[in-house]
Amino acid sequence: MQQLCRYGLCQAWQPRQGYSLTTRGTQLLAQEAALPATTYRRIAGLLDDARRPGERGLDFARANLEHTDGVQRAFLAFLLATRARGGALEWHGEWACTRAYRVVDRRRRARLQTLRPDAELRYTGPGGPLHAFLELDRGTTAAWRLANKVDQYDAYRASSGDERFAVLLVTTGPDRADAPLARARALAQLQRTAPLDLRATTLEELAARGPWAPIWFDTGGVTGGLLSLTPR
Amino acid sequence: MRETTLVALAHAPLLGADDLALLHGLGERGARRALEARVSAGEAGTIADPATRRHLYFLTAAGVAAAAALLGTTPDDLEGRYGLGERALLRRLPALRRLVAGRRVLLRLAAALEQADGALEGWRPYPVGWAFHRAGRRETLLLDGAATLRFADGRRCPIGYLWDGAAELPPAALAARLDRLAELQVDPAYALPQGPRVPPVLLVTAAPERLPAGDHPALLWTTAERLESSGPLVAPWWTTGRPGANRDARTLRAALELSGRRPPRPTPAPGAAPARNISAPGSPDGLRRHADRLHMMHGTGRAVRDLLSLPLVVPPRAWPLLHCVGQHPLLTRTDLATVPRRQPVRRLGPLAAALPLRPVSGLATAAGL
Repeated sequence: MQQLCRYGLCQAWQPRQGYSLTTRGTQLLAQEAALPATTYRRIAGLLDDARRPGERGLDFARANLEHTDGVQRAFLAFLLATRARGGALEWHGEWACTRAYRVVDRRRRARLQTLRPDAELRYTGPGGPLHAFLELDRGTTAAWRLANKVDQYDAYRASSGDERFAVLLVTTGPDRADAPLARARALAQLQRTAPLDLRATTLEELAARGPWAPIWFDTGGVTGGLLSLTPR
Repeated sequence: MRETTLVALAHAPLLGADDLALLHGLGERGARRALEARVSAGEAGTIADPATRRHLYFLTAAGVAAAAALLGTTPDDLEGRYGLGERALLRRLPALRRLVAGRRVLLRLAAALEQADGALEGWRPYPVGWAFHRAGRRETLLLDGAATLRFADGRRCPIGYLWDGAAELPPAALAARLDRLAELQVDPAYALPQGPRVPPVLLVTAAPERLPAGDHPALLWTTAERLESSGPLVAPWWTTGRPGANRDARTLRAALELSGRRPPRPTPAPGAAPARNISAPGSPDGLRRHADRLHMMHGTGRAVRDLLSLPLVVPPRAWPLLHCVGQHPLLTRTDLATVPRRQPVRRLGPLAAALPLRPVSGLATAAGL
């Protein structure tokens, strides 16, 4: 890594000794794919030190280190579990998984909104496939704001017509998921639709037992696993 | 033999002995002798292919001048047309695997056509740039080749060529290239009243699943596996969609007939403007100088400015690591060691190993490889 940093392809961030890609690194990788760097950066879900208007990117990841840490722990938990199952995991960080969706406001005007999950994962392999968005709660967000996220996912589901995704809420404690789960149930009753596939667990359990263990409790109050091979 | 070797190296810089053998129906040892003779004469230089450890040959300035005399053109023109300058050669290094594997398909096509009393004319391997406009801006689609197929009956079909045989690259990379091709096809600058002027594009992919859904006009595709087993002229080529959706696989000739006859489009070569001075490597060790310089700079604390030279010294195991750092920023060295990466791409390591470079200590441990 020191060599890559010396060549200007990576940079080390001292407070954490974490590494990030530079634009030079992106350029080199893009040349292999015969694509412009900006295009390759987008399709491969890379985050480098380029500064573009409206993008929080690397600065956000550095400024919210605990959050970044939590997402990385979740990623490593999924990665090790996937590897153990012999499957494949595709993971996109929050800079690479935003979704635009259309909502109609009270004045019946259509507006574009952006869904910003903390990560998106696609698992293929035994028991799969699984497509999910990850939301990490460190206990610093107000309960109403957390519940509001459920509204956004529900609106995205209605707008996109895609019902084959799950929302994985990883919290610091089991009580933190009560409000979002209740909100998902309430929305389903209100709209007379199936509830959002919202599952919740704690980061500790996820890291200790892995994502395929029966650690997820859903809107029906049932605890189970994520895949069809584990009890739901 | 000198003439054919020089002309082949002009058409396809960084050519291997087995490639030359395939192109001219020679034995590999004979082809290597012919290439080494050019090196001895100072007309060619060589680097080692990191994937196979084979030597890849390129023309030096003297070789460019000799090839230009044979082809009845000026060295400047030849260098500009085929990208034979030192910088153009360096520019190919990050995509060397693409260049070598993708070009192999063109060479097989050339050999197959010759056996069938046809020929592959005016062929150029990666990088071939087709310019187009997007929102008023000039963009370039980089193709893995362009050529004109001449069949036994004299029929000529100009084609473009895309290679997608590297399964470790994200399928979205192919989708992005096809998007750019679609934009190019509707670019008014390339349209004529009687129809589109962009020639059909041959695509060789690692797996049909990588092909994005939807219609891709004038795209003929097959898989690398089928091409390997049947040969380019006999292998089934699909015109659009995936095999399940479209069962009408055809031979290359029939598929080209289906896609229609299109006049050749004047595509500018990369760096088509004639160079003012010959910039091809002046000696057979021309490219090695870059690695030597990087080696000397290592440990001095000075930043390496020349991005194109880096593939000479970045070991192949570092490439997936680089990708991983980009996808998961701020991971620590310990975490990076546990993250699996894309299939290791054996690329430029042996090249670096062949050069007098300092080994990269600690990188293998960090990469977990």
